[in-house]
Amino acid sequence: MEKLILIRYGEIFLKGKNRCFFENLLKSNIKNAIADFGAEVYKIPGRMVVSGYREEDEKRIETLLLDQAGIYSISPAVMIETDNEKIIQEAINLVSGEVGTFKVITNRADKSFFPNSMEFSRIVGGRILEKNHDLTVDVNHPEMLVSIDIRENGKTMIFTKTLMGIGGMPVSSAGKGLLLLSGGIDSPVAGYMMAKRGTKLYALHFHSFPYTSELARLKVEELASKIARYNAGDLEIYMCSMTHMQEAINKFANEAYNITLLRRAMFTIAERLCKEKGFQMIITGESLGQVASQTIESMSVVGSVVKDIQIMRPLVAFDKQDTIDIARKINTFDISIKPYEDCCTVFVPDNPVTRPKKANVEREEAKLDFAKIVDEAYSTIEKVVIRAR
Amino acid sequence: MERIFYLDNAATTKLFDEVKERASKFLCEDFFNPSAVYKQSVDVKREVENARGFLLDCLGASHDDKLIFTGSATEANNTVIFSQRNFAGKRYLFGEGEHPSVKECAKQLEMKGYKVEFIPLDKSGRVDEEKFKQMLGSDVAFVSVQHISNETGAVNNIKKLVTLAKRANKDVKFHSDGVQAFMKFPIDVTDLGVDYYTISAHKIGGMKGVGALYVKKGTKVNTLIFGGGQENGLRSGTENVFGIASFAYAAEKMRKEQKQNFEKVKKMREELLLAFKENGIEYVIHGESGVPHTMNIMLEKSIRGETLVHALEKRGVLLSTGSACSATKHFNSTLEAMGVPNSEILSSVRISISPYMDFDAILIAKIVKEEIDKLKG
Repeated sequence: MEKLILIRYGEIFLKGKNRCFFENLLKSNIKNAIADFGAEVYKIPGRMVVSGYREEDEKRIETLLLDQAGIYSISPAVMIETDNEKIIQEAINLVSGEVGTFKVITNRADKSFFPNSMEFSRIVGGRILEKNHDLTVDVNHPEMLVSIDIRENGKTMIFTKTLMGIGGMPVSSAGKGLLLLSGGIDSPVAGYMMAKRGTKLYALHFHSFPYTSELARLKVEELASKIARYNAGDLEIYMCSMTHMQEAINKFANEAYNITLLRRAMFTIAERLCKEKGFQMIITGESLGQVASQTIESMSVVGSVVKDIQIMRPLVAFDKQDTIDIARKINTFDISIKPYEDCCTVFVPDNPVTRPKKANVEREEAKLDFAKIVDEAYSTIEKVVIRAR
Repeated sequence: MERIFYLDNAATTKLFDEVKERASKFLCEDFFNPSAVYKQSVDVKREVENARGFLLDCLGASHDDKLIFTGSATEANNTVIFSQRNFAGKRYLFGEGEHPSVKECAKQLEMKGYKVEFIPLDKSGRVDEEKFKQMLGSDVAFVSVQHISNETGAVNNIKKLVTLAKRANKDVKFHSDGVQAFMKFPIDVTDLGVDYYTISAHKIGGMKGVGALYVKKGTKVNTLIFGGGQENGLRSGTENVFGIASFAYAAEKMRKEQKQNFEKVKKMREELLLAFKENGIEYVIHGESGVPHTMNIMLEKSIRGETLVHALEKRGVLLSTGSACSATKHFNSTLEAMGVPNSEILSSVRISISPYMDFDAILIAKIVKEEIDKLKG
């Protein structure tokens, strides 16, 4: 007997001649996501299979698979030699301890198998009823389906559970994006939304040590470990120090423009990193009108520093509650609300400008040696790779 | 030095040497408080989180579920049960054979006016499933049944009990005390369907003074100990980092050796029972064997279990009259609930075997026989 996990695709199924491209991407994403477990991944017609792992790792592998964009559903299954009695015994084992209603479905790819599918389902159902008195048959609305898949290679797959994935398209099928990852609620959700549509994520995090602490960094690593689950198993974070930039802005510029200037610096650095690494977009968690820096005027004046790269704001029209609901679903909410300072929460002005004008912003920026401090911040960037948890 | 045959591993186990060595850095070198803000502390905090993640893996749980480290499994059980106090008019069901850390909490609830009922055991030592079915209803808010009996080693079919309970009331919360089950065989809390599951470090070769409570994602749990807000505010008090690390390291070792351990213990038990027989000891085992690790056994009807335990301790054979936490009490309530006659209860002892302790079935049986003969005069 061999344990395996059967994978069904979602939207990939609608693809035509290029389906193979998406399947191969998904396969490679799955391999990366479960790289720690020494399992093998292979394609069978219309589906994929993970096998060869240790039994105790099955649950972890299941969890990681369910978070891979492009997977519609999975079923943990057992594969045995095709033999009527062995199949019946295995089906009985699989439902031991189960209570409620069930139905057996047999599929015979191997048409030489006797008896036919309907008859075999009936026989297996009967034998299950003999052994498990807590189960009854309901062919119309069963609580549990016992699926028996008799394959042409002399093997039979049996499973009783189907777990739903997140759908979407395989990561890396829609470009590479640089997520501006703070410690807040919004940016992890923005990253998840883009990863689900096939963008391979990389993250850029700004810190202001010693104004922000090692705990804030731990928080970002924890967030990254959750986002990594939707990003084929890992997330590269580029950590950039904004300490000198913030000190300079605080010293030389009008306080009301602190955040605007800081954000312009961040976007400048982000674009430069995108160009250097070949990322095709900057992804932010901005939502229109949520805070002073997210009014249309602020977004315009900040976004205008980015010349050649797309800025994606998947949450732009989201209500805060919609974002929180997704953050809870992807398990980042509890981490995001941990009360550590991030670089956007130090040096916060009492009255930030909500409708900044470009001319005024440029005047404030001219008070400091902006380009030089940006260069210096850029040179502090270090890369950390976080694995999914 | 006289050999010690330690046959009381359900009470506690010896800390693994390699675990002690690996975790000892948290005593002197990396002694920092995980809640402090400097890097040294944050690194310690990371280790605590890694331990949490690993133990969740061992439980078959997701990293999105909670695992709260506590000072003992007793505290974890108290935390769960006293979190269930807002279901006015609802019924609370507890296994009749639960460990005192559950049963005494149940009695506290009962004293405060809650409707508490105990589920009878069958002869095998398991919760009587038929009677449990009859007790269930939409007004049952909470059920607590241990996974493996600490007295007899009987294994409850938790998955089935959970399904039955949730069919009667989909909102029922189900807790299982898994202290005796953890690491004896693979556990999958997701498959079992439980909302809460208790585990303990010192039963698997880790340190005493550390327990943990698994809480399914989205399930409510109240705070029992208030203070600095550790464990996400659910259990204050500076983390026992050495203990927590020892918990994870011991679990790592046990997980690797789980299959061979199970087979080894099975064989050890068979050897011991055979040796008893060959020495003319007419033993009676109470309950059906669940796991081979633990058994409640009457070795000689005419001798009180306690007397035999003391006679054997002088010869280096250490066993118990029952759960160490209730060993001082007069009667063993689990055996009583199984319908074992009082005279047999008094003459019974508990033998619990570890694959890691010195063992010689023939010698142990010989010592037992000699002491029985001496006591019989």
